[in-house]
Amino acid sequence: MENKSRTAAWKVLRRKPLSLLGFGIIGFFLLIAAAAPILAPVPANSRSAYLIPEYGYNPEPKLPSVKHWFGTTENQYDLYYGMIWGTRTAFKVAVLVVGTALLIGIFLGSISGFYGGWIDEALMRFTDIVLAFPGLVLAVVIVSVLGPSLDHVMLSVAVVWWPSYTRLLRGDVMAIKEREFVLAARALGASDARILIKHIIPNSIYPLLVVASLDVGSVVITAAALSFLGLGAPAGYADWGQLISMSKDWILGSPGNAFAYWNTVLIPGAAIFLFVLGWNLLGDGVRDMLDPKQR
Amino acid sequence: MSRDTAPILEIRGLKRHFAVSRGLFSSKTMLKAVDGVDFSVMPQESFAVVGESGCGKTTLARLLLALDRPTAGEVLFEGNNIFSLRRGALRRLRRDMQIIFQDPYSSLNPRMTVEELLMEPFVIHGIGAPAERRERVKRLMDACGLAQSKISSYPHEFSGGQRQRIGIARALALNPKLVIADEPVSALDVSIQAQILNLLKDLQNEMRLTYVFISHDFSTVRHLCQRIAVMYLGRVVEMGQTESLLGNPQHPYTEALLSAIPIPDPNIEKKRTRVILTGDVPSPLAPPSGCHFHPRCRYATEACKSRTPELSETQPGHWAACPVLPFAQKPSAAALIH
Repeated sequence: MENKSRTAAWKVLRRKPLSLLGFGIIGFFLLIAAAAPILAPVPANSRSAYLIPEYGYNPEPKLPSVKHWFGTTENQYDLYYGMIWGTRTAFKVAVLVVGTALLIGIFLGSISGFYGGWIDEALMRFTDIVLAFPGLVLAVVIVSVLGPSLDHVMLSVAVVWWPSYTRLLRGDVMAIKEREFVLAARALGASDARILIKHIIPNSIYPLLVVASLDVGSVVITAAALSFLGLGAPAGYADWGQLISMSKDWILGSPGNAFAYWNTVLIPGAAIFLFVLGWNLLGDGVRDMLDPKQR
Repeated sequence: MSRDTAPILEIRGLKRHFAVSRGLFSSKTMLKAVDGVDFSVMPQESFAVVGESGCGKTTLARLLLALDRPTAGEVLFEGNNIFSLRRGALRRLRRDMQIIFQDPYSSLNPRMTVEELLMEPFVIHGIGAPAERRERVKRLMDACGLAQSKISSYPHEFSGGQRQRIGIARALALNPKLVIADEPVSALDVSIQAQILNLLKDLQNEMRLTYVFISHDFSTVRHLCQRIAVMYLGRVVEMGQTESLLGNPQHPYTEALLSAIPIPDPNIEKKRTRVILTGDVPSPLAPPSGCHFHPRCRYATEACKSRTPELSETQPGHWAACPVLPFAQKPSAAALIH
């Protein structure tokens, strides 16, 4: 059974080279994240693997060299080390934030859509309140109140993110619960929990999963934006958003040489771009794999 | 079939009204989907409920299985009112009463394989060990004419007829006593209809099932059912033994429905009297006064507009809610039905 569905998923993927590319990109980043201690060994005197080693105090970034493959950022943080360990940060942020938002969204959305009535009314009005705030502003407020740190960035993005998932799932649950197979399950004596878990959620969750996998990119960007604003990880923490933030004074290069510090912008920018693209392509692939009619 | 045993299913004064809002400023109107229905069904009998779309058949089917709550009335299954049962008791009762749905495309969960679909009744009621469940699923597939090689297939890989077989297998998994069949063949090709009807008939003999067959079509129920009730706008207008009802209809609505069945014999078709119904089924939101059928009835008298006719026994075992037709000059029954 398990094996059969796995080969079926592979069959679908084989026909979609772009989705395959998405899986390839994310797989590549996963490998980097997993092999980070080998690719960029942690210096012996380091307090934490996520702290980028600093080579001097010169504010001016340096171009790639044999010693620093990607060059250094302002204040001489090693860009290569930051990129490698930043991959781990990116995955951590992506998975934890989207996972938390999904769990809340699935729980509240399915209950709201399934039971309707005042439960639905109460949950939806609360969702409206959260949705009424501009997302980034709300996230900034939450992090400001709690104090800047990467954990608080993840928490605040999850708080901003769950309402749209709740709404999306609620709508699909309401549509699916009217279908005849739900009535058939009830006629068989199935409990509410079983009807929700076995019949309604499996038939309504796929749009949500597709949106969520497409959202991973936006979540990473939002978290990067908060880091960029200085609300995220402390200075020198391996985080792509922060690396971009460090390049912001050097984007225009030096007078007469616009690309003088290209590495500080291009390398973290390209990594975020590829990471987001990979998740988007993977999201499409996930949709195709989960649709039994594609098999 | 013994007539002296107690009925397996007894419906008493069953009503289901829906409040329908017709706009912000107008008051709510009552849609009387089922409006006072009484009948009883004997063990191992096949009882048909026939009527046009919108007459409340499907609402009735849902009420019979306690999938909906009635506005008034009760449904007694083996003497117990199913609406006053506690949750647990109702769950146990569901093993004994099952439903076959009209549309085999929407009544099967598209994300479950045949095996999962057929296994579910045993899982819900905690019957048997996994190996035994698998065995029973295979036997069910055999009994319903499904190839065992398809056990891991999804519903969309099957044709309509095969899907309906899956639906039937699922309904019969727990050896129910009563099966409500809500238009089980109307979504299928005519050539497949006969196969499914024969399957239902065979299964009834094997498993001693009682059927309540809901249909809009006399020709699908006449060979399967011993008794027929005809519904019009939420009420039963006529009820009787199949032969008696088809051969000698006592209500003008039944008469008109029967005359609409095409007979595949041009000679008979030419000779027989056609009763053409004029107009549409009135909106159930604003049913006609008195006898609901009077605007379309060719026998209607002035009295029919104000008086609501009750079912009365016109012949032994044959009930009709029409005080006029049994005494009127009727076209000969033979001309109505071959």
